[in-house]
Formats: sequence, C-alpha cells, structure tokens
Amino acid sequence: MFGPLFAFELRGHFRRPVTWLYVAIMFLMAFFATSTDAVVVGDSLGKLKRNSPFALAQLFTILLAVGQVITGALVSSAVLRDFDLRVHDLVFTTRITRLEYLASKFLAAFLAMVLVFGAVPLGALVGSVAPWTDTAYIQPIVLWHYLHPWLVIGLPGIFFLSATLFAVGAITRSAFAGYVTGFLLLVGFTVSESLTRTLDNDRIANLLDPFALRSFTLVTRYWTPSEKNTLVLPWNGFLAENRLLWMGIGAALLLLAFRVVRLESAAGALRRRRRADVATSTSDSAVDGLVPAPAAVVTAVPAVPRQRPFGGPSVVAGWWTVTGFHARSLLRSVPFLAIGTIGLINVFMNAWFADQTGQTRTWPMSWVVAESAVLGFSLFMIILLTFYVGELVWRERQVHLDQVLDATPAQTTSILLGKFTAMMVLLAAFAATGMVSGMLVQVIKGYPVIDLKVYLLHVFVVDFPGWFAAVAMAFLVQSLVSRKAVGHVIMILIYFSNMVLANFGWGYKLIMLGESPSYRWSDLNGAGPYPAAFLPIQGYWLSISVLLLGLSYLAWQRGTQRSRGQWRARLGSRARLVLAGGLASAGAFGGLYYYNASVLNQFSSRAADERRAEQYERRWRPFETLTLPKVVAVSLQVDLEPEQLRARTAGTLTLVNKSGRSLDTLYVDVPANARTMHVSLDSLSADRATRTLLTDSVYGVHVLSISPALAPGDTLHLRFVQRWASRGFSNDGFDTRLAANGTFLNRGDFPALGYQTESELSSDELRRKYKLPEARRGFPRTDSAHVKLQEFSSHSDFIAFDATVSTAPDQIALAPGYKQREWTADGRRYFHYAMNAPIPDFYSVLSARWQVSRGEWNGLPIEIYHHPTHTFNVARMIEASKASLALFSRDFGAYQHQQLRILEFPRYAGFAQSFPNTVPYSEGIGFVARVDSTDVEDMDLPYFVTAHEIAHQWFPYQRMSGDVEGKDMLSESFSEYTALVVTEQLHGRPFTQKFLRSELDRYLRGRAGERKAEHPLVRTYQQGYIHYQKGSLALFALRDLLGQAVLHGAIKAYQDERRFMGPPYGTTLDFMRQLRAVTPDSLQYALDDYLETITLWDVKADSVRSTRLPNGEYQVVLTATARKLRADSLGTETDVPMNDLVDVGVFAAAARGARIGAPLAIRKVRVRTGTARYEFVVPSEPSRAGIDPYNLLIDRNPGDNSKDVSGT
Amino acid sequence: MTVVIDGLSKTYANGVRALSDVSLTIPPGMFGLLGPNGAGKSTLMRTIATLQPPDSGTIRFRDLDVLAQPDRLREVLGYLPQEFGLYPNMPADAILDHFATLKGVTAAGERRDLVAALLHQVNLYEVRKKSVGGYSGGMKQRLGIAIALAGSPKLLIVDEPTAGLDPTERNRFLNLLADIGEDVVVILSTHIVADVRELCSQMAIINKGQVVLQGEPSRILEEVRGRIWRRTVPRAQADAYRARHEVISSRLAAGATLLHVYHETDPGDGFEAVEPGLEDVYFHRLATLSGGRVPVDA
Repeated sequence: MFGPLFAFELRGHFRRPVTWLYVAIMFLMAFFATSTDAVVVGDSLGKLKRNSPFALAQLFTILLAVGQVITGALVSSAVLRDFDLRVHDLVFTTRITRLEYLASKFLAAFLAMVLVFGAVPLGALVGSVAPWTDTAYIQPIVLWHYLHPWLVIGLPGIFFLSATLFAVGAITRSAFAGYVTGFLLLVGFTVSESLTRTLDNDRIANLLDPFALRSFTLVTRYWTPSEKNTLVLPWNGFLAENRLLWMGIGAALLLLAFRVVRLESAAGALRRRRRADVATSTSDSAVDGLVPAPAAVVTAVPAVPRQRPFGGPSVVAGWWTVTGFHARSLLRSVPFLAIGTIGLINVFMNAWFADQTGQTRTWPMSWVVAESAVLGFSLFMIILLTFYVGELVWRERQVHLDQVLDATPAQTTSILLGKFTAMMVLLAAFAATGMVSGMLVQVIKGYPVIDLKVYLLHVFVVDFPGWFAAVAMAFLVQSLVSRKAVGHVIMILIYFSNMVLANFGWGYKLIMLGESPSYRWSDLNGAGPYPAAFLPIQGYWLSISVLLLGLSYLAWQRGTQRSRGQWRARLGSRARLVLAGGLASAGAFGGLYYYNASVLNQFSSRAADERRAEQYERRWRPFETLTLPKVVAVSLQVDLEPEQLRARTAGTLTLVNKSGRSLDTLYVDVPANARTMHVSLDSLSADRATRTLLTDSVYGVHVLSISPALAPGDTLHLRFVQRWASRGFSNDGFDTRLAANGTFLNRGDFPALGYQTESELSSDELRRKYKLPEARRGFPRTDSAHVKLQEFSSHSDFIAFDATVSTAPDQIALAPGYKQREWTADGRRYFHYAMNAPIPDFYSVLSARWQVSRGEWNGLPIEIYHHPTHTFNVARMIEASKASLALFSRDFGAYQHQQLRILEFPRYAGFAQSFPNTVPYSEGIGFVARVDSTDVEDMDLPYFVTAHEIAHQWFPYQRMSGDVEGKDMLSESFSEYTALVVTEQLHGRPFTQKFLRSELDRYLRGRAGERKAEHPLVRTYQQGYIHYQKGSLALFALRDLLGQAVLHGAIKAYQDERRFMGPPYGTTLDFMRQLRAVTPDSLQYALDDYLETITLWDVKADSVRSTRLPNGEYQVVLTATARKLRADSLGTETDVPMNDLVDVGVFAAAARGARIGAPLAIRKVRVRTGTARYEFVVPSEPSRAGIDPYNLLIDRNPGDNSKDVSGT
Repeated sequence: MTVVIDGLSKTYANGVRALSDVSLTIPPGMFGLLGPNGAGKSTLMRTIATLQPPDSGTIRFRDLDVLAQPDRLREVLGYLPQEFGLYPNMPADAILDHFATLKGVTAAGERRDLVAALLHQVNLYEVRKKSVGGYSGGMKQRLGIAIALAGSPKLLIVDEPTAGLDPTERNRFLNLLADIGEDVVVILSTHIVADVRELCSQMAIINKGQVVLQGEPSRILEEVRGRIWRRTVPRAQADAYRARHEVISSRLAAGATLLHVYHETDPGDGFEAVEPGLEDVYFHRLATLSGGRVPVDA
C-alpha cells in the first residue's frame, strides 16, 4: 500500500501550481541575491564573494528560516488536505494502515520540500553566471560550495521543520496550531539572540535556535574574508550539536504523531471529550436525536414574550454589540491567546534583556524598558492584525453564518466598525499588557521607579496610532479580495514594501504604512523636540484609517454576492462625507508633514546623499593641496537660546602664514544646513580685504582671496558670525545639537580651514559605483608632509583658546578652559572661559541644567555636571578620575590642566569624548550604568570609560600624532590600555581576564567583518577593532612580558620626546623606537607578533590531572598544545614556528562574576609548537589549570585554554 | 401583509438560469415552497431575504419595495438559510444575545428575557453556556430558528430547515414553526412533500427556476383526485409498465416496485385507484414538465 500512496501524494505535490510557486520564489531569491543588489540576504560583502561558501551557506540558512512559512504551508496542507476536502471518512474506511497513511504523506511532503529548497543552490548557480553579475564579486565556481549548504543546513533543517509541523498538524488537525508552532520557533530564535549578547551563553543560545542561524554565526564569527571565501561549514561543534538536537526533536514529534494519531473522524481525544460534556450535561437527551424529549421539559417552557416590532438597532448599538461579541470571541480563541502569549513572552524577554547590550549594563529605567518593549511588540502586532483581521472579516462566511448576519437589520457600518474596534481593543490590550510586563521587569530587577508618562508616550502616543492605519488597511484588503489567504499575502507584501523602502533609503514616512514618528526619550531633555511631529504624522494615520475604513465600507460584501452597483449605491451622502472628511484631513495632516519634512527641511534619499558626497568630492577635492595659513588661536562668542532652539555662534580665528611663501587664497569650511537645523552665515570677514571667489552653500565651502596676500609670518584675523535655528521637523527626526536642556556643539559645528576628507564616500563599493578613485588607506608613516599635519585638523597646530558663552538663566554653559567670569545681562547667563596653555584645535560648547558634584585630587578640582536624578555612578566617576590622575601623572608626566570636568549630555548620541580638561559623557552609557561585579559580563564601564577619557588628556593631547597610519594607536590604544591598568587596580586580575576576553572577542569579530584589509596595530587606520580592542590586549600582554615599569617608561619616553611641540608630530615609528630600545632581545619577537604583524595563536589545554600527594599537597599535570600563525591582510594564514613565553598555571575556584580564581601556581614558560606536559605542585586543592589562562594570546578558541581539574 | 413577487429573474455568472420570470403572491401564514434540488428555491429565498440582487423583477412586502430598501425589510425579517454554521467557540446564549441586539432588541432587560424564553422554547436553555462547537446538528438547527425568531419578524424565511434532521428533531422543529403568529408570513422551502402537507395553508412548486403551480394544498390535490392509480409489480417487470403507462413515481416496497401512474381513467392492467398525495401532484407536474418522464428512483 505504501508505494502507490506515496507516489500518489508526491504526484499531488508536483501537480499543484503552488509547489512550483514555492520553487520559483526560492529560485528567484537565490538568483537575485547572487546576481544583483536588489535582494540582500545577510551581511554586506566587502571582500567577500557572492558565491563564496560562506555567502552561499548564509543565504541558504536565512532562506530556510524565512522559508519556514513555505514549509509550514506545504506540510500542513498535506496533512490537513483530506480533512479540508472532507474525504477523510472515505480514506479512513479503506484498508490503509495508520503508519502507511502518515508515512506516505510525510515522506512525500519532506521530499517535495527538499526539492523546493533544491531551487536555492540552482538559483545561486544560475545567478553566478548571469551576464550582468558584477564579476568582481564572483569567484570561480565550485559546485561543492553550492551543494554543501543544501546537505548540511538544508536536509537537517527541512527534516526538522517538516517533521515538527507535520506532527503538530497530524495531532491537532488544525492549521492554526501549525502557525502557532511557527511563532514558537521564532521566539526560540529571538531568545537565543538575546542570550548571545553575553559570551558565556553561547552553547545554550546555540541550542535554542531552531533555525541554526545562531549556529552559523557562532561557527563563522571569527572567519576572515579569505576563510569565508574558501571554507565550507564544518559539520561539528555548534552546528552539529544544534542540528542533531533539533532533528532529534523533529523525529520524536514524528514518532509521537505515529503513535497517537488515529484514523478517525474526530480529531483528538480532546475534542471528543468536549462533545461528551455537552451530551451528558444537557437535559435534552435528544442530542443524538433518537429519544424524544420528555414532555415535562416542553411544558416548562415559558412563552416567548409577545414582542413589539423593534426596527433595526442604531448604528451605535449595533457597533457596540459587534465589538463586544467579537472581542470576546477572539479572547475565547485558543490560537489568538497562544500568539498573544508568545508575543508577551517575547516582549518580556526583550524587556528583561533591555538593560544589557554588550558590555553595558544599565539600570532598567522606564525608557530603557519601554523602548525595548515596543520593539518586542511590532512583529506580533503585525502577525495578530494580519491573521485576525482576516478572521474577523471572513468569520461568518467561514462558519456559514454570513446569510444570517447579513439578513439582520444591523447596519453594515456597525458590523465593519464593530469588528475594527474589536481588533483595536485587543491590540491595545496586548500593548497595555506588554507595557505592564515591562513595569514588572523593572520591579523584579530592583528598580521600581516607574515613569508611567514615559511608557504611555512610547506605547500609546508614538507607536500605537500607526496600527490603526495598518488594521484599517487589512480591513480594506480583506474586503476586496476573494480569499482570505490572498489578503494575508497582500498584507505581507505591504509590510515587505515598507522594509524595502527603508532599505533603499526611500523611507518617507507618509508612504510607509503605519510608520511611527521618530522619537527618543532623554531624562535630561524629556521628549525633546519630538512631539512636534506627533500630531501631523499620527493625525495623518488616523485620517488614513478613516479613509481606508470608508473604502472598506464601500467594498464590504453584504449578502451572498456583491451587486454590480454596490459601490455607487453605498456612496451615499454619509459615505461621501466620511471619505471626503478622511481625505481632507489626511491631506491637511499630510500636507503639514510634507511642509515640515520637504519644504522647511529636505528629504533626501540615501542615493541623493551619496550623490551629494560624490559632488562634494568632485568639486572640492582639487583644493585639498591648497596651502593655507595655520590657526593659532580661537576665540568664540556663543549665544545659546535653548528655549527657542536658536543660537548665534561667532568667533575669531587667528591665522599665521607658516608656509614660507605668500598666500592669497583661503578655503573655509563652515557649518551648513543639516536636517532640521538651518545654519546661516551672517558674515565671514578678515582684517584684510577679502573677496569671495567660490562659494557653495550646500556644503558650506567658501573660497576667499585675500589682498594684500599674506606674507610668510603674517597674521590674519578671520571673523565669522553664524545663526542657528531649528525649523520644523524632518522625515528622520531632529537635529538635536541644540536642545532645550542639553545642548552640545562639537568641534565640527564651528568653521575649519581646508577640504574635509571625512565628507567623502568611504566604502569601496560606493566609490566604485560612483566611479571615484579608490578609497585612501591612510598615509605611510614615512610620509614627511603628513607627519607635519596633526590628526585633528590639517591646518592648525596647538592653539590658544577662549570662549564666551551665554545661555538660559537656569542653565550652566561650558567650554574648555577655566571660568574667568560669570555674569548676567539682559536676562541671559554669561560665562567666560579661557585656556592658559596651548591645546589641540578641538573644543566644544555645552549647556544644560546640571547639578554639580565635586571631588578633588591633590587639590585639583574634579567636577561632575550631571542630571539631578542621575547620581548612580557620580561617586564612581570621581574615584576613577582620582585614580587616573594619580597613575597617569606618576607614570606619564604631569597633568597639564588645573581642573577636570565631566559633563552629562542627552542620549541622542552614545559616546564619551575627551576635550581639553572637559569630558562630555552621554547619559546613555555611564550615568545610568548599573555596575555589578558579580556579573561575568560586567566591565564597570563608568569607571573604565572615565579613566579612558582622562587618559586622552595625555594621549594624544600632550603629544599629538601625525596624520598617518598608526595614529590611533598612539591615542586610543594607549588610552584603552592605561584605563584598563587603572581599572585593574580596583578590581584585580580576574576582572582584567574577563575584560580582555571580551576585547579579544570583539577584535576577532571586527577582523571577520573587515571590508578592506586588516592592518597590524602599528599601522591601524580607521579600524576601531584594531586600535581599541587589539590595542588594549597587545599592550597588556606586553606589560606582562616586559613589566609595567618598562612599558610605561617607553610610553613616557615617547611623550617626553616632543611633549606639547608642533610639527613634526608623533608616529608609531617614534614609539616603536623607544619600545625596541628597552625590550630585551629575547622578547623582541613579541613586539613583532603583537604590534608589527597580524599574529594568531592557538593554544589548548588537552588534559589536566591532579593527584593528592601524601603531604597534603597536590600534583597537577597539564598537557597543552600550541601553534602560531601569521595572517595577511585578508586573513590567509601560514604557520610560523613558535617559541614564546606563555603563562601556564593552576588556579583556585573562581569567585562569582569572574572566570578565573586566584593562582595557586603560575609561571611563564617557553612554549613551542606542538604538545607539551607541565607539572605543578600546589599547596591547596586546585580547581582549574591551563595555558594562557588570562587570555593574553590572540586565540580564536579562548575558551579551551583552561580546563577544570579532574582527579585521578 | 403579503409578499408580492413579480417577474423575478436571475442568471448566475456561470450561465445557470436560477430564476426565470417568477411571480408569486404569498399571504400570511405558512407558505410551502416545493421543488427538487437545483430548482431555484434557495436563490428565490435569498433574493427575498435581500442577500442577493435579482437581474430583474420586484418584490414587495406590504407597501415596502424590498429591493430598493433592503434595510427596511431586514427590520422585520427572520431568516434561516439552508446551510449555516455558528461561531464554534462561543456559547449559545452569547450568540443569541448578539443577534437579538443586531435585530434591534437593544434594551438589555428585554433582551435577557427574550433570550431566555427563546432558549427555553428551542430547548437549549440547559446547554446555553456550552460552546456551540460541541452541538449536534439538531441543536444547531434549533439555535438557528431561535435566531430567526428573535426580534419578532413579520416575514420568516426558512430554507430546507428539516433536511438532515431525524424524525424527532423534525417534529420539534415543525411544532415551533406552527406556533408562530398568524399575521406572520412564513416561507418554508423544502423538498420534503410531507412538510408542506402537514403545515402549509398555501404552497407553490417551482422547478428550473419557474413556478409550476401555486395554491392551497387541498385544492391542488383536487386537481389529480381520481386520476392516480397504483400497482405493485415485480422489479423485473417495472420497465415494461413504465413503457406502457405515464408513471409519475416508482419506489421499492418490500422487494417489489410500487408504481403510481397518472391516468384520466382507470388504466386497467391491474392498477387500483388511490387517494392522491402531494407527492403525486408534485411528481405529476415535474413529469409533465420534463416531457412525461421522471427520473426513476428505483
């Protein structure tokens, strides 16, 4: 029986057009992903080829996960088809056995799915050879690379998904149960994503992900471009564990289905029991229709009251009952509750992990939780509304009650609006419940300061109104289509188009259904300027909802058939009024939006932005080589009006011709209009006659001629006056540089001399697209011209600085320097700051209502300017400042200023930045951080970041580096390393281990994502993962080898060489000279390995055995394997012989929040390539032992360096 | 208080001509609409119930132009379609309450009494809190009639209500219909002749979209009285008789074939006179229309 059945099923799959539609979808997705930019599946490419095994495997993994929908549809329709067609009674009464029936259906569906996904490699293959495919992104075709993912990702994945969905379908006989299962899997994936934010949950996170997307990421996270282009996914470790687990789950469910499913008409035991309930509890034994009802019951019947004629219900009464009835009906629907519950779990998980991103742990403030909760809603809102609007519209037709309903006098308006309201009420309840679960998270996590206003703003003012439009659209779509499923597909296409528009930079909010206004809460600045856009956009969506509902009314089917003249007949005066009203108010609100976003301000698509950058470069780059005088002094007069979001910035730049030849042309770059900020130039004048030669208001470029020309050594005073005014809002939100509370004007908001390289397009792909010359990679360290230019600005050396700033009377305004005077005039508060020593051309102006907390170090005042309620870490920052000042001034030379200030600014940006004696520090990163040293991921960021920023006062402000490769090492690596030394003083070595382990992870991920070429540390160029992460790791490892005094001595010697001196500026060549000089010959190799090359080690503890000796001590034997590799800039590796000093050691048990305990025995030994044995005798019971236990080697498997001790 | 249908025609998009020039006058009381499957009964009823516009023709109820003002008709309409379902996850009382509201019983107290009374009347009161998903066909049918009866309709249209019901349920159901006030127009469509004979004061037979016959059942019987003859013959000989006589129906009875024939006078051949039933009228008319032969049932 099995053979023919199987053949029948399989033939059925291939005869159905929908199967071929699935094949076509898969083929086209793969085809376009490989041959064009139109479909982007997965990471952007850089040096990665589109047909590399990595890209192909990623494509397959993602399509398999996305294709879950298709698997679900095909498999569950296979298992439910007989019931849908009501032939199951016929089939079940044949001689077929249960096993044959289920097995034939399953195997046929599984095989059909295998073939559907077979279209992916095929599509990718055809895409690789398509004539228009950019051959720069294609490598020679290796068929195995196409086939391999289909085998290792595809077959297990398809088996698991088909088996699970088949089993669920067979057991429940409900298509909806299949949907719910699909959502559950999705939640598994999201949870695993939340978990991988921490390093130690890798394994659990990996197992939780049903789609193996996580496994794919974990396996390939450190792969370099060259590895991605050559390696196929290894079938072991993360991938194998995950796939075996889920295949096992699939098989188990399948076995369960084979056991419990019976070939009977009624579904499960469940349904039969419910039916029995009714039968036994009713007094009417005629349920089965065989026994006449007892006469007593009939006589007890009260007469139906003689009813007066009622007439129809009013619109309102009808609307109300429909609303109530359908809301209750949905609440009684198990799948609805199931999806809602899953959604709430998702919201809860999102809220739970909201306070941790990477190394940052924050207090669960209301805005932290509310933001993540809203993120957690969206997907489920879409799912709920897409499916349940379909259910609501089609409900009566599905249960064949449509004729009864349509023959009632209830008005169509009541029915439509009632169902709409029911949906909205339930979505609102869902959102409200999610909101409450967010509050619950706050309470559980021990920060029960619930700011209801913040929640309500986020959930119901910013997010919710858009859903009206989405739901109304779903009603219209479902009213128009002839089948519910078609409506679902159209709705999914609409959401998809939203994403596509956004992806292509065409995300104009008015055309993206239900898009919310931009919004960001800040404790300092509250809702800030954002509410200005709420009314236009939300009013627009509500009007659109009215319009869509009006159209739904016209299209709504009443009766068994739409009459031909229905639209015209329904278009009565009331309908006209509603439609016209909706249209008019959508027009009014939309017009208001358009006026703000496109008239007052500019909406530019991403392509337009790219073209702007291209134009800038084409027009102005020729001026790059123009010789200009140098800025030697800056004097600012800034008048802030935070209440009005206006400002006047004026100042005088003192320029000196240091060039040795006479100069008659000036190139000045002034701030220009940006987003919602209109910046005008009132005047640009000098104390010599100037004439404007060229001007470009879009980029703020002004080329002036000076007469008489500036002779060598001559001085020119250039004065500028600019006005700033915030106007309206833009499509992408607001320019938040001026804020009612928390203004932050950075260096870039003041004029500068010369062409600005950083405005160029930087990505290789974009430069190719616009036919611009290849991107610059930084100048070599031997380029003597660029060594003479300092890194902040090519046209200044050290400058003198002073600033007069006025602000609102209740605010403090700050700029680098020391306060000379403070006064009030015309109701404004004035401050005058002046710097008493030369500083880099790098300054900022801030203003806010701050509370000031003070500390001091050796009489030097330390001031923290913070939001009154943000006191969590203020003391910590003061302590960090003291410790930093103490260590740095001891080891690297005196602190050049007489004061240190840290200023909190709103979380519109999330960084801290060091200006001379002044450190603006974002509200979002340190001030609300929650330091918890028992958390193994916690890095005490408030302390560390404070130390890092203070380190910048030395590096590079005491010796600036030249504008060549490696400059960032001299500032960022030094700061990152020295900050870690300061933090280690507080937290000890175990903290350093976990910090460096995390730095190592970020470095390895960073190099895996490198789009151009990896440089060694001494030549780092705009590569944060090198100069921050590798920098701290490398210098820390060198400290261990050379000793802290030697390393710090070399750094100090480098600083001393040209401290506070002008050009030529420092390079890593200078530093390496100092370092080489103090490094013994036996350790010179380490400088090569860590600083001058890209070196990787692979060390591993193979076994650890411990024996208790008669004297109570323990003998520990460790065997370990080691290997050393060199990588080129694309990550191609070659083995090099190893003979390096490496720690081996034995440790006591780790404390909570640390991975490593106190060392019982530790020594540095020369480790060669290969396996070796190490013996220790330790006084107390060992817990762990290993090689390089502190993770100072750059090793892609840092977790296997140590092992728990096993006894003998 | 009558429904006057005049010249109603309807052709479906697939070319099926469901109604062709149907004219009927339906007085208060029970009106039986008889016809074979596919005769156009349901189309006619849906059209009267404002659910489907006709291509041409008019329907008037009292002084109301039904097609022009469907909303007004719905205010006095009770309708139970041939096949219908219920919200499976909702209890009977909630569903009935919902429809009572939709039919204009908006005062809460009044509606509560009405729902209770209707549920008692259709004998579902005890199970009113159960989800109707677990109801038997008969229970659902009774809840359907309760919905149709809510809001004191003046025009009640029930389409094939007894199809699929066992005899007990059928009796219970017909009793419910019989209790409805005399000033209400009740249109009952069925292909079960007995339903009409037992209940209806007026009836019509339609076939292929046309009204074949209309009148009081007793009058209609007069038409064929004395012209219906029957004989039981062995099955093997049935065909021979069919060739010789105008057989209007034949069915198997105890292994032999019972033939009814229409004949003005005694056809002889062993036939005996029989008191005609509506079936005979019905089959005679259908046979006449289809050229003297009916599809043979047995």
